[in-house]
Amino acid sequence: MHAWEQDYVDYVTARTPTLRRLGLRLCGDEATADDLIQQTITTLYVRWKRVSAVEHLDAYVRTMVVRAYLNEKRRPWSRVGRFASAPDTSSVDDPDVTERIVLHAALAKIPPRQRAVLVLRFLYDLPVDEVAEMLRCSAGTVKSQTSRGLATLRNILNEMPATATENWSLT
Amino acid sequence: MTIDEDTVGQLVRRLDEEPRSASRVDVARAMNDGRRLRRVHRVALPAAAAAAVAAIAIAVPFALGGATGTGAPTAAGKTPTKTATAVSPPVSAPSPTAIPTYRPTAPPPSRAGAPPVPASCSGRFLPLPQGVSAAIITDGDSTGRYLVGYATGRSHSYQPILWTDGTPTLLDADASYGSPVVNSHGEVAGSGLSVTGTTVEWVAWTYGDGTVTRLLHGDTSYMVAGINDNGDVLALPMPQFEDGTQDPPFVPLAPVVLNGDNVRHLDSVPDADATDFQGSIDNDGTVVGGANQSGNAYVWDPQGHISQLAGPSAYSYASSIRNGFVLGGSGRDNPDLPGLFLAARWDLGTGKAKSFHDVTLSAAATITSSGWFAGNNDKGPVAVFGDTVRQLPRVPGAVDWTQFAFAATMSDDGHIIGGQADRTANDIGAVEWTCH
Repeated sequence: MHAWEQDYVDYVTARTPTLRRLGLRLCGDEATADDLIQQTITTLYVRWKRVSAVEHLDAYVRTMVVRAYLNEKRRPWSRVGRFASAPDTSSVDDPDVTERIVLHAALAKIPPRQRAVLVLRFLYDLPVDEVAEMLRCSAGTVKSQTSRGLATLRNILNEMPATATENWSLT
Repeated sequence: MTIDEDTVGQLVRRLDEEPRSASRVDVARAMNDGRRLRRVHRVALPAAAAAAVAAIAIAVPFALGGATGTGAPTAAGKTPTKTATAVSPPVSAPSPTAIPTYRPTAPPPSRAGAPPVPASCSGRFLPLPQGVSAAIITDGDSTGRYLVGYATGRSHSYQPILWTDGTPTLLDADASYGSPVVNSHGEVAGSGLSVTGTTVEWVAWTYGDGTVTRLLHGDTSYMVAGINDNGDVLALPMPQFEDGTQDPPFVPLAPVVLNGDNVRHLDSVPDADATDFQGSIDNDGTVVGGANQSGNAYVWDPQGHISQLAGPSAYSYASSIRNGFVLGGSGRDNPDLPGLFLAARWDLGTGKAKSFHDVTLSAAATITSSGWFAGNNDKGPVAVFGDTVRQLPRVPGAVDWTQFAFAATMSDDGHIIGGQADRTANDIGAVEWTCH
C-alpha cells in the first residue's frame, strides 16, 4: 500500500461513523445511508491525491456526501423503493423510537433538496451561504427551499394522526 | 400546528441519532472499486455501467497499432468490416513538463459573423422509440437536424437513439461506455463494453446509412470521444479486460483519429489516463480534450502536436470544439470547493479564455461555430448567445425543473437546443428547445 493510500484509510476509517450519521440524516434509513457513504468514499479514493491536502477536508467530504445524495435522488431507478424498507420497529413501544419513525416518515416525503437544506441548516447549524455553496445555488434559493421545506413539513405533520405528534407540544 | 424555524430545529434534532445496525461501509472495497473506476470514462457514464466495471478488472496490457487480425464479433453480433493498417506513425510522446502552452500560430481566422440572436424559445419532450421509457441527449450536430443520446431508465439498455428532425430511431448498438456523438451527415459513433466468457473489451462502432459498423483495426479496440463533419472519429485505443481481481494497468492517453482504414496518431500524454478522457474534434482536425481528473485542457493541432490551454484557472478541462472555439470547464482555484467547474470558452484564434461565473455545463455540452453554447444556472437551463445568458423556458409537463433539467447541445444558428428534463418522478426525457 502506498503512503497516500494509508492516509486515505486512516482518514476514512476515522470518519466513517460521522459520515454514516450524515447519511442517515439525509436518507432516512441505514441501508441506503451505507450505500451512499460507500459510494462517496469510493469517489474520495479516486480523488484522494488531489484533495487530501485541502484545508477543510471534512467540509469537502460532507459536500461530496450531500451532492451524491442529491445526484442519487435524481436517478429514476433510485426513487423506487428508497424508503420502502420496513422501519425498525423492534422498540416501537418506546415513545422516542415512535417519534423518530414519525419524523423520518415526514422527512422522507420532503423533496430531496428541501430535505438536505433542512438537515444542513437545522441539524448541522450551517449558515445559509455555506449551504448555498454545498448545493451550488444562491443564498436566496437556500432561503426559499427552507421556507418550502418548512411548509411541506407542516403540511405532512398536520396530516398525521394527532397521537403521532401529541408529545411535541407544537400548537 | 405552527412550525417556525426554531420548532423545526427542535424536530430535526430529534433525529440526531446513531445508526443502530452494523456498518456495511467497506473501505477495502471502496479502494478496489476506486482503482477500477479511475479507468472509467466520462462524467456522463451510466451508473449501471459503472457498477459493471466495478465488478471487473483489467489484467491484459495491450499494444497500440496491433497486428491486423480477425476481429471478434461486435456486441450486436456483427462481423467487423474494418481491418486496416496504421498509415501514420505514432507521434512522439512529450514528457508532461515538455508540453508547451498553447499559442496562436497564425492570425485569428476570419469567421462569418454570428447569426441573429433568437428572440424566443419553446421546449418540448422528444418522442421516444417504442419500448423506451426514458432517454438522455448526449450530442447534437451543427445543423440542428440530428440529436443523439441513449435509452436509460428502467430498461437500463443504453441503446443509442438518433433523432432526425425530431423522429427517433433506436440503433442496434451498445452505448454503455462513451456517450454517442453525431455529425451533420447523421453519422453516429459510440462505444460500449462487450463481455465474452472471461474477456471484456471495448466495442466502438459507427452508424450511417442504416448500418452499424464496428471500429476495429487489427486487435485494437477503441473508445469513442468525438466525430466531425468529415467523418473523422476521435477515439482512444483500449485494452481488453480480463475478468479477475487484479488491479487494472495504467492506460496512457494516446488519442487517434480514425477515418475508414486510416489511423492518425496524436501526441500521447504518458501520465494521463485514457479511460478518463473527454474530447472533441473540429472539422480541420484540431482536437481538444483531456483527462477529467487531471485538470488539464489540451489541444492537438491537425498535425497531432499537443499543447496545453492556459486558464482561466489552474483546474480546467476542454470538451468541445468547433470553428476554433473551445468549450470546457474552469475550476475555481480553491480546491476546497469540490466539483465547481464553471463554463469556460477559449478562442484558439486569439488564445484568450473567458469564464462564465454563473453557468455550469453538462457532460454533453457542445459549442457552435460562433462560440455559443447551452448550460445551466441556478434557475435552470440557459442558452449563452455570445456573452448573453438567456433563461430557457420550462418544458410543459416537466417536473423538478430547477434541479433536474439540463441544456447541452446547440445548433450553429442557435435554433435547436438539446437537453434533458424529468418527465415524471421516474423517467428522464430528452428535450428539444426550438428558438427563433
